[in-house]
Amino acid sequence: MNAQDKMAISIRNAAKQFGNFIALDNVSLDIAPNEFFTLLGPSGCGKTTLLRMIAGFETATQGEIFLYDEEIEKLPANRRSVNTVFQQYALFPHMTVAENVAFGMRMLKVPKDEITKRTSEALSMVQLAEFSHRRPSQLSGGQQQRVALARALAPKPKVLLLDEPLSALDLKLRQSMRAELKRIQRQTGITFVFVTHDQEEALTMSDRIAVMSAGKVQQVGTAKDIYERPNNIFVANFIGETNLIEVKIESIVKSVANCRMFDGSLIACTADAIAANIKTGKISVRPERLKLATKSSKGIKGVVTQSIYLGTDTQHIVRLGNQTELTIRSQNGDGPDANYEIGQEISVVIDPGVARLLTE
Amino acid sequence: MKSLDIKKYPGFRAITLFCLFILYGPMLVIAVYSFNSLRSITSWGGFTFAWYLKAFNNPTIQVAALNSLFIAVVAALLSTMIAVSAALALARGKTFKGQSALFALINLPLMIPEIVTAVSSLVFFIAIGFNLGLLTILIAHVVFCIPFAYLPISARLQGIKGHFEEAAQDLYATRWQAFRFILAPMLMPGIISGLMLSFIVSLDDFIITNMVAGPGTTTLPIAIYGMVRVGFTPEINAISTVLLLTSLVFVTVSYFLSRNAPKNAKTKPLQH
Ligand SMILES: Nc1ncnc2c1ncn2[C@@H]1O[C@H](COP(=O)(O)OP(=O)(O)OP(=O)(O)O)[C@@H](O)[C@H]1O
Ligand SMILES: [Mg+2]
Repeated sequence: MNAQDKMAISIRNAAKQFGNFIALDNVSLDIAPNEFFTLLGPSGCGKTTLLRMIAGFETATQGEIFLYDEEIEKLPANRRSVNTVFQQYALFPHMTVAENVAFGMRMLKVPKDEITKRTSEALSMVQLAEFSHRRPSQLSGGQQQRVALARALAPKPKVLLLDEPLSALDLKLRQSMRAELKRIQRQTGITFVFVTHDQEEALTMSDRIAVMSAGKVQQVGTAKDIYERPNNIFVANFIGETNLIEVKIESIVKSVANCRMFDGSLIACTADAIAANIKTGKISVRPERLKLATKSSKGIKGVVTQSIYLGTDTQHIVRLGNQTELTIRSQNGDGPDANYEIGQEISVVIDPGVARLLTE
Repeated sequence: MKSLDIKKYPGFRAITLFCLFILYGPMLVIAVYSFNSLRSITSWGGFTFAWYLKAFNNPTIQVAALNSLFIAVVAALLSTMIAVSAALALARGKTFKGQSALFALINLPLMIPEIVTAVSSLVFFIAIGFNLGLLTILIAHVVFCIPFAYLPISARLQGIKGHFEEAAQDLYATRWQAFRFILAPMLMPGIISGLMLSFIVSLDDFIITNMVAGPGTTTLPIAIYGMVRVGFTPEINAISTVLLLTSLVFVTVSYFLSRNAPKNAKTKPLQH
């Protein structure tokens, strides 16, 4: 392995058990230098546990963690060049903002004048230069958040860990902080490992996302990868919205499966994410990829049960013959097909190549 | 809820005043008459500091006061150190079996009748052949001061919510540095409060001290008791007033420290 291949963080077969409960199950991940990497998953899936293992607050039951090829699993938290932005900030209440930011460098025995310089740099990066003499309790939630960020960045860690740092902020602030975090990550070039259960946050900010569920990593990829080519039903359901229709698999040739639907019709779908000997599965189609057409057109027959105008687009719910409900979203101003009435019999058209065959 | 306003109960004021009078009246009399130039505690003969001077120059009182101070200071320091460790272990360490039993054990001395502790301490020291004296007093004091130091410290610790130690260690502090720079300053009001309470409790103790002191070793309360038995003198008023004032100051400071306790412990965001 040459120097360029070095991963910022490399996790090998990590597992964590609390008593009999398996919080993390054989997790392996590679996080590249300068990457904005997100751990995304529902509550309780083990995101915080994984982050705390990287930080050194939990020991792995098994497995290894490497920081630029150095095995750090056995090192105590204070000897890992990794800093954390805590969800509840954990700013030291008896210290000023500047003292908080300087603390890490003080512990690292950085020379005094350099501490002063880097403290004010870090504070101006988060636009809090004029607050350096305040106590944390004299700041708003958003400002405290930024102090926590400056404090974690000032010692120049190799990797910055952020555990749902925006979840305590209101919506407006959260959105502006997303942009600010992105800017700071690019400006500093520090690898960010970001934890969230908010998929919109994950999709808009990350270079790559690891989708987790029940202690396992389900899929790793860019936002586009996991949205357009989900690996399994969990990912397809968790990221964005999707329609799932049960099918029988007739044949698979070169990652294209020929599947039979409940109404007897055949559909070709991408099948790169499933095992070869599988007989049944579900096809997943995003609501914006489905089209509605008149009853006489070729397609799956159904009845419109709901029609919701959403501004830029309209959402129709269609009940199929086997009682499956499909959600179909079409952009408004797209032509005459935007208007279907409740109770109307229609056809749902699935264009070739948009359906993905998945299993659990 | 107006109907529950305690001030509206009939006789509330009278009963309160009566209780306060019984509690504090005698102390007030002693304090006032410690400045009386007559030896009487019934008639006033003019203002004087003479009894204070006399008390301060009394060699028995001097020795007793020095003993008391020494024991109170050392007992307060030691018991507070033990209390801090106990509070940290119970609140911060991993939960372990018998944790609540341990908590009860630490605080049990508060509820056991003092005379029982006194007698059993005496029997214990004699049984192991320990010479009674300053050291046995000190050991006994450290032990019964621990719960007094423990309570304000653990109360303060419970108010500290959040991952402050982890944050410190994340920022390259060792466990000791995390305690020294983060946790200890945040605990300080509790620690000072614990120090003061245990100091006062030690300074005032009579029953246990009297039992384990052995012959010839005196502390202030023992000296005062001895003097009263021989015959009442205004010096006793003076020295009691000094003790009273010391207690008052310490308890007040301790109260104020614990009252505006963990206000900052969890940083509360202001509204934007
Ligand atoms: N110290 C612990 N002892 C026992 N179980 C624990 C402990 N810490 C975490 N767990 C369990 O491990 C699982 C994963 O927890 P974790 O905090 O990592 O979830 P998470 O993905 O961060 O969830 P959230 O989005 O709610 O923060 C949970 O089921 C949790 O109950
Ligand atoms: Mg979490």
